Amino acid sequence: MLFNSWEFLIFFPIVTILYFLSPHRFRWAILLVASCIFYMYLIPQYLLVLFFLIIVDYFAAIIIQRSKGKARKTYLILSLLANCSVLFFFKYFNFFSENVNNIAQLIHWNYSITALQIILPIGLSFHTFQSMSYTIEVYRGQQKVERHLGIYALYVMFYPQLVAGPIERPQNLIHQFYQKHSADIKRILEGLGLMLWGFFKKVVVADRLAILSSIVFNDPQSFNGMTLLLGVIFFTFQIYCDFSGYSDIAIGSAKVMGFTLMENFNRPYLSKSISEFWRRWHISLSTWFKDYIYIPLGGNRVAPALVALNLIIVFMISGLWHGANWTFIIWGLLHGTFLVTSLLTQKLRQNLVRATKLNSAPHLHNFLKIAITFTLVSLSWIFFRSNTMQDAFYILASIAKLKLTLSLGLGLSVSYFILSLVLILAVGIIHLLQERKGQTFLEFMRSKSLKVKFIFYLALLFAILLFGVFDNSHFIYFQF
Amino acid sequence: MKTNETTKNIIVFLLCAILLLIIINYAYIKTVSENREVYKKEIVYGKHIAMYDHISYLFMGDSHVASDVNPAFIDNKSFNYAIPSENYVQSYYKLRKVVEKDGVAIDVLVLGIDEHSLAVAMENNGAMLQDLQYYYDHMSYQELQNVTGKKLLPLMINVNIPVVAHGIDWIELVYTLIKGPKLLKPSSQGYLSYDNKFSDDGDYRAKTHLDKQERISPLLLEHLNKTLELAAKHNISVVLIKYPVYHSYFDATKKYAIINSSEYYLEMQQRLEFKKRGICVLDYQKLFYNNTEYFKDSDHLNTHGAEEFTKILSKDLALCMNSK
Repeated sequence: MLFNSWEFLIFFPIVTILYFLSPHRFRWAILLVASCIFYMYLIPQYLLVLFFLIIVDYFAAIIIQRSKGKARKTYLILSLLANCSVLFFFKYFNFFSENVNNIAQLIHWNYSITALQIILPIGLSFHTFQSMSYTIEVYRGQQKVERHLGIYALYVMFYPQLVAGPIERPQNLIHQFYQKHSADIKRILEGLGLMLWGFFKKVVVADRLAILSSIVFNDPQSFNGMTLLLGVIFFTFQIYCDFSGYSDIAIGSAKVMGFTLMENFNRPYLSKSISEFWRRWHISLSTWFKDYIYIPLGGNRVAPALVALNLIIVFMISGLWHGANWTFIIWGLLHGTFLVTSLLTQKLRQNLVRATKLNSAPHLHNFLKIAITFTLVSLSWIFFRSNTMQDAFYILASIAKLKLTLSLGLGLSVSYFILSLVLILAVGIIHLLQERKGQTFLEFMRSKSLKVKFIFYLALLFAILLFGVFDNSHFIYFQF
Repeated sequence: MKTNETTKNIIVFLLCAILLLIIINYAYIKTVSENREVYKKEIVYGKHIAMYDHISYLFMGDSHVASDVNPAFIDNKSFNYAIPSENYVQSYYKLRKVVEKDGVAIDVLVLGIDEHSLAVAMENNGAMLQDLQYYYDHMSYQELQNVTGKKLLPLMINVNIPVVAHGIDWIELVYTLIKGPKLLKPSSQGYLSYDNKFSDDGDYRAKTHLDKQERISPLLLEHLNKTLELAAKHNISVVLIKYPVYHSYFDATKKYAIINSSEYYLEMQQRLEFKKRGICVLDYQKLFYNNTEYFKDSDHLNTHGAEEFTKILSKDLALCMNSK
């Protein structure tokens, strides 16, 4: 089920009311059944894949806790292998076979692997990562084994974050299923407010910007550099509003029922460096990679050359996590390269700042840092969004040869551009206001008077009703 | 005490939201919906049928028809009922309204059969969805669901609260007002005139119309067939016309069409049996092929072009009817 569907509009209040009306001991079952319905709305049979992973990790964790010595590690590896195999089968097999076939062709080797005709289960990468996080934490002794199969299944399947995160840690979520949440009106209103903000970002901003960016990225050869640049800028805001909008709806809907999910975005486009960007963008995934891959590889406690190598490895895996395509791998490698370059040029940049006296104008200095980071991130999105590597290079080359022109050749009305710019500005202004005091959206709203809240939420509601795009468009991160 | 206050605030919020929605929706209907082409044409149509007991030639179709045919050069009783972006689905339900609801007698129905008329790209029901209120007046929810593919709840919202998801139309309205709105004169007999200078956009227009998609949409074919059956039921003669285009458009259609023009027309003819049904087909595609003087763009005539074209068409229509 999609958050931005009519079905969810009916599903959500029914589940929430049932949840609060039912006795505490049955609430987990209500949520589990609701999560199954939510998931089955897309491709019902894939529920079996989820159940398989749940069973494997449930028993793996019990065995890991019981075992001692090397056996613990063996069971952990077996459990991780089971998760990764499912991921490989559904997500990477065709990519792997395509590349093997290409190499075979290149060396004139008469060999080919047939591609599988399968559809990727929605949100597979999200729930396998959440599942793996549980077994790893049990192995590390940071999390007690969950003996209640229903509660463990709910940890993996909790519908607000099932298909696109935030990727939760067992320490944060599992214990919450045992807590009794009352129907606290203040908390419910805050949750609904956050959902409204998420819907605004998704159906009003992201889906409006998607109209242009889809035209441009699906047929880049038909457009000039100016139009392509506009497409890239629109996509930069689209992907943020799409994914952070999803996260806000997820966090908000969980909050309505009394659950606290982790923050997933913290105004990433106001970052002053790429490393800061990754502390603010898709936080639940970047911390996952940091805790379970980067630090076990040695983190930044090893020699500088190894740190650089670790960063490249982590970001390459991150690219691959997003999709089985070279465009995603290059996107990941680009970010890895940005980070390594920033490490290598740290002193040089400090000298440059001193020489140009930029440190005596902190506002200008910060503005430049944000602008440069934003530009690098936007350029990297070209690879992320392009259908092929050829398209990505074509877009980059066309932008490099940019000529200012008013002829965009998109067939979109002037009103479309006016509205899109107003929407980008609106989100930008709210974020700048939040940034001044370092507040989350909810903290920002709590600091406002009742009148301001009243007008703001009314405005959000009407922006959604009047300017929303209600065509059941998928969230970009569903495909991962 | 605090909970009571919160509940009171929630009720005030909801009441404000509902009241505001009613006001905004009403304002939208008055300023945007009722200013749409379909309603403007309906006003002119209402005046036309109040003056004449029947329509001699009723022209239906999209912007090609709306801008190419000036019925004043045929006779006083003819009417151009075409709306930009109209497809055969809309034409069918509009014709059904004219003959069955309004009870207006029609001698000849003239429909366009252009390169794009049956194309899947024309299935885009955006134009119809914009005017759902208008179509709901003479269509059931079931019929609307069948042709729009929408679920009942969103459809009902679209019909009754048209402002939902259409707020951008206000910006367009303001922009149109600044640019100067295009108004239909009551005396125009439905003709939409363009005085713009020629701009060659053949490639773009052909791409929008065909876009390498299927050239014969089952939905559009079904409704064209239903239109022909409805016409036969009410003893209305039918003439099909290929409207004039500038060569750049025609050339570009070769690039964006998956089957060529002759195959497309042959298939259309075979599936709809024009000859067997005694339907006249008139081809003017290459009438002004290289002459920019008559075009506003690559596939629409300007005022002068429409005048010249309708004069020729008038004679041919008479010949066509006489030969029957």
